[in-house]
Order: sequence, then C-alpha cells, then structure tokens
Amino acid sequence: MRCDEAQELITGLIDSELSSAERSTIEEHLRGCPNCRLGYRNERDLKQQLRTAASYLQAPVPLRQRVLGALPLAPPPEEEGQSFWDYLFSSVRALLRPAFVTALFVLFIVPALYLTRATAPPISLLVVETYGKIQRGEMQLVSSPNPEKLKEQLVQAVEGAFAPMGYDFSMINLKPTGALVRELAGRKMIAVVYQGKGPPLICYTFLGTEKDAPASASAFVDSENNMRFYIFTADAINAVMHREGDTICILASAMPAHELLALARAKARSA
Amino acid sequence: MARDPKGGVEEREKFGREVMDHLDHLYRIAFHLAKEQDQAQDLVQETFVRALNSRLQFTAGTNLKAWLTKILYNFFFDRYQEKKRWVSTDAENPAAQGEPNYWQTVASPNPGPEVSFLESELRTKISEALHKVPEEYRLPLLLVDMGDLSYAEAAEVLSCPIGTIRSRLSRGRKLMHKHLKGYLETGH
Repeated sequence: MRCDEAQELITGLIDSELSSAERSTIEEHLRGCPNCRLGYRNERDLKQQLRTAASYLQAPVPLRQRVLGALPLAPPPEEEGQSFWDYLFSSVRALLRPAFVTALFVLFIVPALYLTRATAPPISLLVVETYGKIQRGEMQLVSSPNPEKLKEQLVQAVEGAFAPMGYDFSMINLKPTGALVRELAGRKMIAVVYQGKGPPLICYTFLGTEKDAPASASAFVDSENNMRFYIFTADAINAVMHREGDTICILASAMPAHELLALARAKARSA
Repeated sequence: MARDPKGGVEEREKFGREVMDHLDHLYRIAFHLAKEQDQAQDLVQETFVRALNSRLQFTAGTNLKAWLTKILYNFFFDRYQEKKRWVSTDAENPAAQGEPNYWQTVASPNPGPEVSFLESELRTKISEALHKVPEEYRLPLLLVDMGDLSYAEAAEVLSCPIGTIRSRLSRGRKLMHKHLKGYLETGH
C-alpha cells in the first residue's frame, strides 16, 4: 500500500469506522511506515483538540430559558382536531402543571410571606455582595507564595470545618492572588480571589445547602453529572452556585453568566 | 375520549426534555454555522420547535442527536444559505474573497473588555483554523469531531455518501493540522 492510499484509512482507523479487513491492512502499513505513524498520531491528537474545544462551548443560559419557554407555549399540531372536552381537560391539566403552580407561588404566596414576616437576604447574596468591596480593596486579603500554606491557613481559620475548592483556572489565565475568611449571617465563608487579564473571579465556599440559593436564581440541571447550578446576579456581578457535599461553592465574576456557568460545570465535582 | 398518548401534552413535554439534553450539541453546530451568536440561538430555538412539532416522525431507537442535527442543518440552509450547498464543489475560501472574517466574529460572541472563558487560547486557535478550511471539509469536522456523530449519521445529515465523509474528514484534518501546526507543536 502506498502512503497516499493509506491516508483515508488512517482517518477511518481513528474514528473506529473501518471494516476488519481495512483495519488489518492499515495496521500492517503503520507497523512498517514511521511517516504514517506520525500522521496517525497527529490526526488523533487533532481530533482530541477539536473535541476539547467543542466541550467548552455550551448553550447560553438565555437560550436555555428561551427554549424552555417555548416548550409549553408552542401549540401541539395534534390538538387542532380535539373536542371541547379534550380542550377543557387539557386546560385544567395545564393549571395543575408544576410551572403554573410555581408561577402562582411566586406571584401570590411568596409576596404574601414577604409581607407578613421580615426576611433577611440569603447568605449567597451577602457573600457575592463582598465582590465589589474586595475588588476595591476595602477588604484585606491574605496571600502567600505557597498555595498549600495559604490553604492550610484558611482551613485553620474556619476551624477545619471545610476547605477552599482549590480550583485551577490557569487555562483562562487566572491565578489565585489572595484570600480572606469572613463571617456572614452567622456562618464563616472563604473567598479566594483569582486575577489575571480582565475582571477578577472570586470563588466563595461555605457550609450550606442548595436552599441557600436566592429565590430569584435560575436553576440549571446538569443531567450528565447529576448536579444543579444556580445562576443569579448581585450588584451587577454574575454568580453561579453549586453544592459539593456539604460545602457550597459560588463563582462570582463580571464575565457573562453562561460562560461562568460553563466554567463552574467544568470544575465542579459531583459529591 | 381517549387521547393519543404520543400526541399528548405530557408526551410532548417528555420529548422536549429529551431534546434539551442535546442543546449544547445543537448550539455548538449552530455556533459554527451561523455568522452571529443571535443567529445561532435562533437556529437552535427554531430547531427545538420544529423537532417538537415533527416528533412523530422520529423513529424511537434511532439517534435523536443526529435527527436534530439534520433539522438544524436543513433549516440553516433553507433559510440562510439557499444558494450554497456544501455538496457543491465550490471550495472557495471566504477569507480569500475578501468577505468578512466571520469565524473571528463568532469567536467573540460577547465582545467586551473582559477576557472570557470562550475566548481562551485553544478556542481562538481552533476558530481561526476552522475559518481557513473550506466549508465542504469543515462541516464533517463539525459533525464528526466536534459533534461526535458517526460517518453514517454525518452522511445522513449532509445527504452524501459515507465515503465522502471519510475523504473530506481526512482532507479537512490535514488542513486543520497545517493551520494549527505551530500551536500543536508548542505543547498546548
């Protein structure tokens, strides 16, 4: 077999799209041809690069919301010929749908609860509201050239109850430059500040549950990893919250919400 | 009166949830087909609505992702590229024609001062390289390498023989490697 004849078979081999006869032929050629072996490795690595690049690109949150919004609104064509009773039945069922009940809850019951009892802001909002103060230098950070030493100090400061997430954001040119521990709403939280080009990113951690998400947050379910992410905004800063065990993590940044979500999804570890 | 279980509201919503599982995939393909991010989002939303409305045409047990991709691809070309089918032998490079460098445009869907996640070095390099690859080679790369479709599924989407997918993938990857060569060799 000539090398030029081998090229398409190499492609098929990488994609596992060859018959057993084709596979035997190209594998025999590769054993005796260092140039084609190099070409095989290059092509295989390129395919991996393309897959990696693709995995970083995820549907933006506004698109998800638009699509979800289209789900109950788009009229099913099969219902055009339905009877009055079918129509009535489906209308009553629509009133019992979770989305309708949720809307009812949000429109009437939540305001009623709000008016009848004083409510404190959820800790997640209080936490993200520190972003501006940290950025303006109003909250003093501790830093150390040794990340492990810094982590040890932070864990000691919260009496060993939990630890910072220790995420690596070097792939977007952000590196940890400092951290602090504060008590908010009776709970201690750790904030680790990552800086580089562009706006800083702060990774907050504290002990809690998903109930700590603000009521206004949009929930995103990552079915692949069986995790939920909550997207919200505080003081014009986007935030994405998720839970890892009994620790809550919030990533906060001025970057677009859907990109922050993609970042959180890439780094989050399911419990 | 008994309701057709496949035409019911619950069935429709269930199917919609299954389609949602492929939203990232559809957006990736749309993002690399469309010239603007808004257009990509419109493509995905329209694909979603069309899929729901024609869900009875989907054969259970076949690949839903490939079926959705075909809807998206057909809609895109019906609406935006009526005169330009990839199966033509037109291998013109838009950049060489002095047309707008739209791969650079789509690589920055949220222009602003901030350095964003999607503008990472890898993404930028890939986008730049993809833009230099003629469309007939680029589409198999999007479907097979980035979309994880099989040759048969990609051939079904693009209405071409399976052998064409393999030969154009082979050529497309060589072009991509040529454009990314310096980048790949720096150990990224």
